[in-house]
Amino acid sequence: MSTVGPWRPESSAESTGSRRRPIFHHNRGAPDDVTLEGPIVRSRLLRRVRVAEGVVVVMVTLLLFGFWRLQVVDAAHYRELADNNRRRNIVVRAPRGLVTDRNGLLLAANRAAFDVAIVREELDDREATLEWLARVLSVTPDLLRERLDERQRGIPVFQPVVIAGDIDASLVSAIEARSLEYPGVLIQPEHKRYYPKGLVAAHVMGYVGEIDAAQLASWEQGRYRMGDIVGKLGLERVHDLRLSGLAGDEEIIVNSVGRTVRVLNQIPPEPGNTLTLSLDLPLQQQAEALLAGEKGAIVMLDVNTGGVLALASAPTFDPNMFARRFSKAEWEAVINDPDGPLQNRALQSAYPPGSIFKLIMAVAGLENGMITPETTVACTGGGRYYGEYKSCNAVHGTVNLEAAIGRSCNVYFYELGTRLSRQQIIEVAQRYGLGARTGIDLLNEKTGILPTDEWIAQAPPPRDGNWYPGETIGLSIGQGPINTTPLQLARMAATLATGFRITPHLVEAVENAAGREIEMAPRNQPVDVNLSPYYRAAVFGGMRAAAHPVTGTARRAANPAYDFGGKTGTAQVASAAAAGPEADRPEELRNHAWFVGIAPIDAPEIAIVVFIEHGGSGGIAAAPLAGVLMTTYFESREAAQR
Amino acid sequence: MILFDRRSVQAFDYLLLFDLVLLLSIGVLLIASASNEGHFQRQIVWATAAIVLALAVSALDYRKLANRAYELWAISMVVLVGLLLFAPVTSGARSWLSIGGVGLQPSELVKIAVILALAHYFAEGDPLPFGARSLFMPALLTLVPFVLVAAQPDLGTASTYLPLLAGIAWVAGIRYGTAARLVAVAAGMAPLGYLLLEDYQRDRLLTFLNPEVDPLGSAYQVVQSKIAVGSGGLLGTGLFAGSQSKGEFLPAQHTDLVFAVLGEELGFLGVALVLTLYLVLLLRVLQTARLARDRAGTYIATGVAALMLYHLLVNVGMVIGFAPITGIPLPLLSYGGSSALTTGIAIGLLMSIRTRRFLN
Repeated sequence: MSTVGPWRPESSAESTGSRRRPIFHHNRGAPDDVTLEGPIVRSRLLRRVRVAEGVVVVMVTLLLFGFWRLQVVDAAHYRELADNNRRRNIVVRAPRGLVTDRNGLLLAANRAAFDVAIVREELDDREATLEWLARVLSVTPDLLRERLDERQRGIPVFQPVVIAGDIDASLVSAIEARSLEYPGVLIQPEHKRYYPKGLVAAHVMGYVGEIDAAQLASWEQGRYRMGDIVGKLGLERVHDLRLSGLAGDEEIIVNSVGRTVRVLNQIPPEPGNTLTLSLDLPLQQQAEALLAGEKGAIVMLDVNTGGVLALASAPTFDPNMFARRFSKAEWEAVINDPDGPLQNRALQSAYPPGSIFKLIMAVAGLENGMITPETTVACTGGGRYYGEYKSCNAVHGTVNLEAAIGRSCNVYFYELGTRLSRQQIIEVAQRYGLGARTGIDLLNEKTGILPTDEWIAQAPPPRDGNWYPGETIGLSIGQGPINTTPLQLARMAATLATGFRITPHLVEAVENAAGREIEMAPRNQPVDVNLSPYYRAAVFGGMRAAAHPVTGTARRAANPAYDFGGKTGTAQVASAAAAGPEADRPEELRNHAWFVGIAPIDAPEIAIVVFIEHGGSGGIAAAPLAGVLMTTYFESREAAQR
Repeated sequence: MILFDRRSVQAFDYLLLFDLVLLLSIGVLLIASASNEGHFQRQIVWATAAIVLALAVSALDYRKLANRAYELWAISMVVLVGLLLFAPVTSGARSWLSIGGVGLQPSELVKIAVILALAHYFAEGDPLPFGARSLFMPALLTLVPFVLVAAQPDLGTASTYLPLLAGIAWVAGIRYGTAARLVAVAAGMAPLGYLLLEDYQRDRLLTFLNPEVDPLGSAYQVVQSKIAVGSGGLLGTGLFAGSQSKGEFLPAQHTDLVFAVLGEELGFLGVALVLTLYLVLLLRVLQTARLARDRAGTYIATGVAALMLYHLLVNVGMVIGFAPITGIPLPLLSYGGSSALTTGIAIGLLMSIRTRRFLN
């Protein structure tokens, strides 16, 4: 039906004129197979709707094409992106191994620490967040800003950047409580190295720190990663492979904000091994207490095993300092301290042994047949050797070997020095471990100096490869071109005690985290120095005499409760003629004080060395310290036996 | 007004109903896969409500509704003004109205009022080609709700009113020259419009133009959505097995980005199926526009088609980086009551028009 004209449904219904029976009372009678539009209007409407239909088809086809490109053509590319999206590998650091003394007392452990980290991607308002954090942590916002700028380099925005390490536990809750307000701030729990006894055995333990580029390049490949905490000094460094454990790996599925949704694969970290040291904590603590205020070292060895019972060096440092983030000023203060607190004087410094060397002379004289224990020398307080007058510390009269050692008669040994060649002396000294590293499991051990042929050949002018007979006289009392470390002398004493040259060591046993003992590389076998029991008895006689409570030079170490043999030494730093009476000299010109002891002298268990740098007389400055320490040793031994 | 006889039952658009139910069902499945917070149970309720509403509206005479279009429009505007004045800010906008604990977005339902009002206006006028002058009133009918919704602020939903005017004016006979001039003016105004955008909106627009600029900032959604879709490949990872949706990489995955979940889990074949369903729906709606017995019917159907096409292009286009990020849902697939109800009403209107094409 067609109508032209006004278009309202009502009017058009009228104009059709058709009067079909309405189906419903409200229908006004339009025929049911026609529309109300005129043909022109209708055809235009249809045309326009057709265009719209075309647009729809084109548009949907375009969308379909877009999906085709994405899902079929580039599917592999996006699948790879998706894999990277969901899987993340994270390193789970292993807790560092524990270190205990010989009785299981904890020397190094780990404590829980908390770092504050920023995930830049999640930050709402960087400035507001940093300012709030600065207020909470009581630092300036500038400091945090600086740290974030500095440490974010190379770290993707979705990974945390630590901006404050090891914060106080009370701040943790303060920060976490407002994590909704300040998104992107994370508290990361961490293990921090912790030395429960603080300053004790600092030189032995060393310290830990973040691995540096040099270590990363030279240490075992693939084992260490950037950011690992590794040993930097002392046992921490030497035994790092045993202590550091193996980091674990976790393959996780993370969501878009990096939160773990699921753990796919987990290689748990292998915690570091527990090291049991030969150290005896009470002895170590006492040794350090004895050295308080001094510069020097004390070493006590188990003569049979070479285990180090005590190894103290003063002044010392606090290894805990390195476990936290210390300031540059703190670091420089330690490094530049003229007293060298980082220096382990027990093995990283060598000094003339002074009269301690007479023990070597005695063995050399006996073994080379130059003297017998009965050989006597008349001491008149000094003598002229090779044109030079050499004095003794007293007028000893006629002395045999026992008296010469016990009262430290120089003349006796000057005389012996005229009979022995330098080579003969050095051969014995080397056999007893002087002039060489002891091989203890610590780094940067000094070899010391012995005037060997090689040393003389390389010595700087004005020596020009010469050795003068007069120098052998000086060598006889441990003066001249001879330097020994306290540890070397302790080993020498231990060798005299047993006849075997042992290798001092600190680590007695290694256990894995499950408590199973791990075999260590075999230590160097003790070397038999072929000391005849007869000669040893002669030397021990002298050492026992030195410990005589009235006449011995080492009498200040004496204690009626136990029996020991000793030898004191006072190494000249400057001649009395040049520097005047010792008490009046400036400290750096005063003599070094030594004491070497073996106890009990009848059935030796321990060897002890006390060294006080510029301490003056060995008998006065060093021997009493050894006495106190030996007393403690025997008391605790008795207590253990009861 | 209610009709229920043999003829109406025969004339009823079963294909449209089938299409509607199928898309709603797929939507429920995708929401079940994409969200684990009970959204899909609620969506089942909404989908059912949408079907019931469609059937109920199909029984109404669209002409009566069209005759009341201005009143409906006026009431809608009052509601929108009320929202701006009294509604609390939810997700950054004053766009939600809570009725008995159920949140509704009036801006969705306003689309129906705008469609009806525009259809009524053009149906009332002469059926002659017209120029710009005749567009004053329709522009008012469209721009008032646009401004009110944009002020919430919800520019995405506000933008859905514009294609209604464009579609209906086109079919109603706007002159080609006028249409071309208007498109040119709109293009010329684009830079001005850019100045009026909020920062985040500019970011989104720039991101759309160049997504690699900031893959972890504004472009995040685009990048993640493309990864999800692309990794689905031809066959998809399987329903409920999409790693991107399960890994929560996709933001708004059960609402605005539900199509990305479809792409990942059901692959290109699933996408093709769903796009075909939409194509059938749209063509059916436009067929209804052709078959309508009066111009009001034609215009209402055209408005519904324009609305659907716009949503489809913007929402699905956004998923594959063809369109900028705008927070508008995909009718029938996305989670959301207001969108489902609005679509239900729109489909109901369509059914009413089709059923009544033979009636007076």
